[in-house]
Amino acid sequence: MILRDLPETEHLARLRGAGIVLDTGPFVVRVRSSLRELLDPMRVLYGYHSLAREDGISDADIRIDPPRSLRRFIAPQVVSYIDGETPFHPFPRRLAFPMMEWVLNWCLFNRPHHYLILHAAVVELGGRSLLLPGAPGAGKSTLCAGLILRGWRLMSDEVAIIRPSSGEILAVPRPVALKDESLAVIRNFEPGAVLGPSFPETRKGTVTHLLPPPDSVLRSHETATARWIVFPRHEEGAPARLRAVSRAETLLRAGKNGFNYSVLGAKGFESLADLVAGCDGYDLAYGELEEAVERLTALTKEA
Amino acid sequence: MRRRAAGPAGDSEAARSLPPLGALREPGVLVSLDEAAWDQVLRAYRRAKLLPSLAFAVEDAGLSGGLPDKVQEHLLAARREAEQHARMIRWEANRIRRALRVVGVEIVLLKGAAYLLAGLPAGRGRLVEDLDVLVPKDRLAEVEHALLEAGWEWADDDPYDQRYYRTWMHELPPLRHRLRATLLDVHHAIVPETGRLRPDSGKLFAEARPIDERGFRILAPADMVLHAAAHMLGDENLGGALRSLADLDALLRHFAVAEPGFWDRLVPRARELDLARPLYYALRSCTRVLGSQFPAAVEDGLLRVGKPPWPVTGVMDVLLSRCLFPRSPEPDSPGVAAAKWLLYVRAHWLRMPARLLIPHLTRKAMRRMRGDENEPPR
Repeated sequence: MILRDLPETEHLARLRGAGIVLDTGPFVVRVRSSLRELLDPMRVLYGYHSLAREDGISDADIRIDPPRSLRRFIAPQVVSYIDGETPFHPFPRRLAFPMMEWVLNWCLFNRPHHYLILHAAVVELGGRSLLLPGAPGAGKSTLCAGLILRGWRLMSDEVAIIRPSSGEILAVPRPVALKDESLAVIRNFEPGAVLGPSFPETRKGTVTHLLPPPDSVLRSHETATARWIVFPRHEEGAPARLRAVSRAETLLRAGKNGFNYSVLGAKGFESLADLVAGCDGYDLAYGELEEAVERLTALTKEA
Repeated sequence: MRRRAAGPAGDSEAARSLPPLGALREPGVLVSLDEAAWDQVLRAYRRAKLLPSLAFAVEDAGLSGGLPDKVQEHLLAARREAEQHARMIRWEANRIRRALRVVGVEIVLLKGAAYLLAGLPAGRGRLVEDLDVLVPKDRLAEVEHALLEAGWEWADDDPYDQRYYRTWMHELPPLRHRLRATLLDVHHAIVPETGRLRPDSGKLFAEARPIDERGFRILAPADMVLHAAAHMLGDENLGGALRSLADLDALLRHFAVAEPGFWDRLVPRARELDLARPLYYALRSCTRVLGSQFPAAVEDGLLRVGKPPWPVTGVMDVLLSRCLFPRSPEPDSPGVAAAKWLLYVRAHWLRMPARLLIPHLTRKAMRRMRGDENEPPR
């Protein structure tokens, strides 16, 4: 069953009780909260995600709730619990959903050391995947959103999950976070895009989430081989141009975007080197999203 | 095992239904667990920072292969995490030795770094985040100077915190090398001098032993156990209490076999170092939480020198049982939170005189409420 098929009352009851357990590809996440306001964003943005077994093993088990202190009532906050601990500072209560996304990301970035994890968006077409490693502000989320609105499958907008032994990329499709001007660009690019609520004044400006395409979510258990690694750079007014990057440089720059590269040690280096050996690396400078998407899609026709 | 809703009642039920920490010693008890039970185990051990230790215990017992795939993945991830911590600590120790070579001072490794570099079973799978060392008090200024020259910086600039450590604690304020993430704590005693317990550091140095790693020594077995006992309840971070207990148990089991005369030495040394009371609580907790057994002579000896007066024993038993027994991975119930708070105040009370205690605790509470960066969330 997918989340949107669960009646609202049941959704809220589970959220407040044993939790909503979602299948997001290789990871099962359990979310618990007493907050009714999480209901709508979850139904809009995770509507096509399958519910997983409640009595199985979760990879991230989080709870988002008001604190027990006075900040429950005065300038209300929310805190997040992971396995019973609150490792993070509280957020204002109105940012409960961004907090949920943020904490789930944290679990994905910091825990699964049986995989190699890179900070990158990953999209797939024809069984081959394109990685967009991303310095913040480089425009990878916008580019990722553009690509998936033009037919690419969303594998992930934040993390490349790589099986070290085989180099396979695993998909973890979740809502795509668009910041500030990115929202206007996407609305312009695809007026029919389904978006969640906007949350102003987060630490990264205004954040709005794009619904992951239902097809991407349905295919979340399909892996892919990496074929292209593209380092994007948004430059106002620039024509879209690709510049080939050597494998050595690609390896170094991809490694810099590793979340757990050093945890895996030598094995991390070897796995990444093997992955890069099978890929073409590029720098992409672009001004117009449509042009960038076309240029990248053209890559798939080349070889 | 049906999932239970969280809440005070659900919390204590889940805690009772968890396999006891004995799984660290007998990983075989885990083999028959269903996935729902495994979910609780993984989360509870992760919370206690004992998942890597469990993962190694399972691997050493040759049991990994028969477990559900997801369990194997989580345990593999935990082992990798611990391996990385071990790499970082070895490197940090190497850099410290280099930096302090010019000072020519004896460096005694403490806690996790000691277990790891000495190759003790307690070090296997241990997540060591900080490096603790003990140096003679009269060389402290030289050590501080050499470290700062070599690129270490104060982890916390706040003048109040600086004064707190130097004046009232038994260590330099925490240091961090500007190129790395590991925190370095340089101690000159194993408990604060302003505190109510007064072990003599000179005695510790006299018995310290060399290890394979050049330039470092470790405490003698009895002293290592006593140090772990003193810090189990003496540290501010009570979240680490369960792990300290696991360390203690691993140390005791190892020395019982590897160190001739260990049991005979332990209680007299505890008395000598004024650490009999912490040892009493430590062994009692090991028995109650882990089911450990100790020689009768040791228990009798401890009862004579370490047992607190009657009302205190009862109160501490309750506090300890609420805090240290295998906990569920759910947020602390009000009862547990209150017990932790009391032990937290007690830990401070042990470290500083009353006239300093209340202003200090008040200040910390206010900083936490304001969301001060230097004050981590509780």
